[in-house]
Amino acid sequence: MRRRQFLKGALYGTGSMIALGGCGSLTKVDQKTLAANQIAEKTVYSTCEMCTSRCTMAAKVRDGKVIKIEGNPNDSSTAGTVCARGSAGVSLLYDPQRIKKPMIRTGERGTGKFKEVSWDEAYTFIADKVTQIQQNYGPEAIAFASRINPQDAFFRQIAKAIGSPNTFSHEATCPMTKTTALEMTFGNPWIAADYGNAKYIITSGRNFFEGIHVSMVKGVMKAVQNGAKLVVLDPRFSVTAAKGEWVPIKGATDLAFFMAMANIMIKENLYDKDFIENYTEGFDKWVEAVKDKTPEWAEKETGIPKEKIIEITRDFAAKRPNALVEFGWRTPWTPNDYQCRRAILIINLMMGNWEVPGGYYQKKGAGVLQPFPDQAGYAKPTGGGYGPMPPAPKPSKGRIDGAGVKGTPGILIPVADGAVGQIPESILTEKPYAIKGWLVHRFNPVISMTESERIIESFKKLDLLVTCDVYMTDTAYYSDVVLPECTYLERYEPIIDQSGLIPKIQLRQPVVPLVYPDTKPAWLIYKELGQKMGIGDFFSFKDMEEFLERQLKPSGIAFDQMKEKGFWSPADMKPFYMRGKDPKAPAAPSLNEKGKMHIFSHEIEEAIPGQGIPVYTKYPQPGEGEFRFVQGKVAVHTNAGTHNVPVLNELMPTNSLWINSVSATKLGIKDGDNIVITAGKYEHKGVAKVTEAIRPDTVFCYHGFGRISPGLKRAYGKGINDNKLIPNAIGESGNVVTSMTFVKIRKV
Amino acid sequence: MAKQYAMIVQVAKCIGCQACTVACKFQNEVPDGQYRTKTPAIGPKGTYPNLSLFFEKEACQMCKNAPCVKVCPTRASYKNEDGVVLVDVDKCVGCKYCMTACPYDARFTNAKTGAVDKCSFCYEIRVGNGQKPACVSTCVGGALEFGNINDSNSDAAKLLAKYKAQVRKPEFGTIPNVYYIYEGVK
Amino acid sequence: MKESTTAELYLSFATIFHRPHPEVVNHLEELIELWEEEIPDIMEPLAALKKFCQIYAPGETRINTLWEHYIPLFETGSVEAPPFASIYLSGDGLVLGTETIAVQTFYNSAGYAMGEKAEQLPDHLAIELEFLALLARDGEEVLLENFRQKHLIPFLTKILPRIKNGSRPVYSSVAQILQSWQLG
Ligand code: SF4
Ligand code: SF4
Ligand code: SF4
Ligand code: SF4
Repeated sequence: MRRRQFLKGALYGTGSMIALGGCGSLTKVDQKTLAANQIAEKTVYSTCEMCTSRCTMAAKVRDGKVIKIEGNPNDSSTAGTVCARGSAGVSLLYDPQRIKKPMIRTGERGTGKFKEVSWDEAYTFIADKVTQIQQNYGPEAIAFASRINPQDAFFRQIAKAIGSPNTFSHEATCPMTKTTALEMTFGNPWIAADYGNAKYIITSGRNFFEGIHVSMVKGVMKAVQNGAKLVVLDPRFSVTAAKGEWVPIKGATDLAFFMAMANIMIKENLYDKDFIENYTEGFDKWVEAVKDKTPEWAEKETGIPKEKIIEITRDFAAKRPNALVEFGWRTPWTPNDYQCRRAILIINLMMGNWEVPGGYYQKKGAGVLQPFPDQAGYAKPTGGGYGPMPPAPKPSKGRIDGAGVKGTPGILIPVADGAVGQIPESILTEKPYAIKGWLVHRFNPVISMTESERIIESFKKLDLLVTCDVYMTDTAYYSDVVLPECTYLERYEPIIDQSGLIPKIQLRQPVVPLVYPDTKPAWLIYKELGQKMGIGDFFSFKDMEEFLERQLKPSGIAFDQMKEKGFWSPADMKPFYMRGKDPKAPAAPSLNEKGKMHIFSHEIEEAIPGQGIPVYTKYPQPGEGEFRFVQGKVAVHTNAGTHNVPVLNELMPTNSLWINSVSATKLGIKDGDNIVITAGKYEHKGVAKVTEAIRPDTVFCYHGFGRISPGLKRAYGKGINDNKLIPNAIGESGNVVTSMTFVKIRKV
Repeated sequence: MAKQYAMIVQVAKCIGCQACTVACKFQNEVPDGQYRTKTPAIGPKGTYPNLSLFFEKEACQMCKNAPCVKVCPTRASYKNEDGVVLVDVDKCVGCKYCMTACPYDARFTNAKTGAVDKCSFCYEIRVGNGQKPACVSTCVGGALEFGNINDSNSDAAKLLAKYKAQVRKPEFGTIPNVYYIYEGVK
Repeated sequence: MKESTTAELYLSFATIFHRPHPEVVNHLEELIELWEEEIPDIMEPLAALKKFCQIYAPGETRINTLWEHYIPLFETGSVEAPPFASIYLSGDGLVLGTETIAVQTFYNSAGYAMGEKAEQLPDHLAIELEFLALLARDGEEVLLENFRQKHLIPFLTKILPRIKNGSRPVYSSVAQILQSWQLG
């Protein structure tokens, strides 16, 4: 009988284990080896990655298993706490729904048919396709998009080595307009706010208590507890609004509010003239620009009574210089949102709150301290980890989004991030040239970028789509190759700089061995892929231990010390404010050659004449029966990243559409009703949440729900995918535009 | 003096982030879909645009006069020497009398152990080692405090001395040891 | 039943629930023959399996068809029937839970361990079945029965209905056959 040989051979063949198909995991061992494997309880300090805030954390490990994630008790910035998402990391690590082996698509795109393959097969497949595209269209026809992260440098290294200029981060969908404003005003974006010591905080949509960054929550809460006033401009009553004074501003008019503030401060002499004179340039043009931006005018624009605007401005200015207007985070609301962020920064300059307690400061990485003789001794900068590298080929074409080109509108787009919304446009329209391959690392364009269906349509024109992630994301589902990355609890990453008022570097390190043995860390994936592609010499480090040792060497901090503590900060250094002792001290932002902060930006003026100083754009407001559609973050989820994580999904599996009770009554909609939301040609089903907590002309939902990949079983089909309804429009600074869509609602 | 452990919730500082909820789950191996504590929203109350919204952490109130202890036929529910109400899993027969008796709906049947479960103030697992409970240690808003309120030097006692505190459903005469401070709530 | 037959049976199921492998997939007919000879009352699933073999001859299409079903059933994304005992028996729905540790400890006490290069977690359905095949081969009847009662049966009781109800070719039928043999 055939089977007798087939199975018997495997059972009674040579050796003690079974060698057949996937068998052979179990091997005979003696008890001695087993005893050596006993592992006791330990704590491993590392860095959280459940969102991009990168808090320090401590993993409790028992018998090789993470049983709990806590804050790092030695880190005063978080007071040893992690948020709900941080704790829930354990359930991501041990989730059976994670992807476990590389996969190659076997059916049509979008049918979800894959086979599992070895890493070598996956690399070969990608390398062959990349070569084909390179030969047919040039290396620039391959675009790279990733969520910004210390390790996405390895991913970008592939682009650099093949000579594609088209690398993008997710930031255009989130904080980019702020980045542009910082770069144009200060010459660099590494600027932060000292919330904890502020006596008055105004935020334009920044939702500290739902878009959580632990140390910032701690800072703002400290300020509020010390009696600071918190004013929250938001069309929706967020948790942050609940902790302060809610100013339900009309959508897309925030710039009017800030111009009126400036108008009042100038008229009533409520600004810091010395500071403006010594540290800034172009103030006269700002005076001119806000001359007619009176509180009366702003009342008409924003819907906020002029008395309120005046009251807020006077009280705020009275706390000079220890008060700040927060520059915002997820703010790609309008095409020219960067101008609103610029105006906010200018108000801060008028407050003279630069480098003083309760104001803005240059993040104090070791490099920033070097010119200050009394501070330089506290920390030495870290170095690079790559080792020797051949010269990278010079891209023969410019970027598809024109980012960073002086004298053109592209100057507004931060080159490190790019206008990621241009990728699907270039795929579909082949302008300025066609994109044929798209490599995606830990980013999910289908949900994170606007106009989901257009993104999917663009996928269909690609010769190659590769996604590397921990889950079968909505983008992975459409990909040709899916690469399973291990989680942040199972890998090393380059040194993470989290400096604030004192330098701070952090380590992300494996707290347990790989749970699923055939997943890999990003550094290894791209190093091996690089080798397969013949560009291995761009990765001349043996492993991450070597990489990290190289990085740490110039800083004088031992790798073992980092492994033991998880982070390093100079122990005896006090928070350093450049103007802390002397308000006239030279305190230039670190990358600004002239030492002046640009109220008027020559760079912008040169690129877009007339825009060197913020100019108000009057955007349309929703008409009868229409609502402005806005979205936001919630404390238990991160962007589009955590909705399938077991414990977090359990806490919040779905979202609903917030609609004001008066507006809902007019439409005959009751709380909990099924509704259809329409925006142009797109429709989405959802459930209404009828509430007082939103403007009558606005509707809102939390972002990241309504997932379309059946591979995300818990999140699949639950709730509203906001981005299905928003057209893909690219803003002036490369941002996606999130809050210019008007929707109609009907009951079903 | 004997110890009396208590938890203090400063409602104004709670942001409803559920870090406590999740930390508790992992610390105490609370099964899928079950919770010893949660922090639901109270509100928004009022009419647009004059609204209020706050969050109130819910868990066992650690009653001095605990109805759950009184009705337990097997003495599985008991109060220990430090004023903490606990459940002895081995003695619990799952009769659910305590669940009916508790005015705060703090108890549930643990799907894994089959015994009744509830907040333990992390007594054995953390407080015994000199740590604060898991929820208190990870509170992102900084709303939670814990300690022996019979020791006037404890952080918990200091908070009670400084602010007016309330307990839930005082009319039941349960004398809870979880205190809520509403100072600063809008 | 002879020990060697028991070992062969356990192994046959182990190989099916491991990731599809040409060595096994292209010999599906032989496994069917074994089950037909040794396990009573399995007409219906056997017929389904034979039909599958008729439609898909050994080769590329056959294995890709199995992948198409194996992945959503066991491996990635939706994971209709997570193949890890821990998911069902540890209480938190996650891998590497108390049941995993218990199973691993059992392996160790029997003188087995997951090798350095193990591609699976210890409580994967296929690994548990493979372990039983080894015990049967080694003539460890007591250990075998012990493991079966303590670990395999509770696991199969939970997972087999899921695989069966998933109505995915081959897997659904093999689950029925395994059910007849072990839980019947
Ligand atoms: S805010 Fe929360 S999820 Fe984000 S890094 Fe910090 S602990 Fe992790
Ligand atoms: S809150 Fe309920 S369970 Fe807790 S001590 Fe009081 S009565 Fe008992
Ligand atoms: S004290 Fe411990 S058991 Fe009670 S809610 Fe907090 S974490 Fe949970
Ligand atoms: S962790 Fe603190 S702030 Fe967050 S919900 Fe719990 S009690 Fe409130």
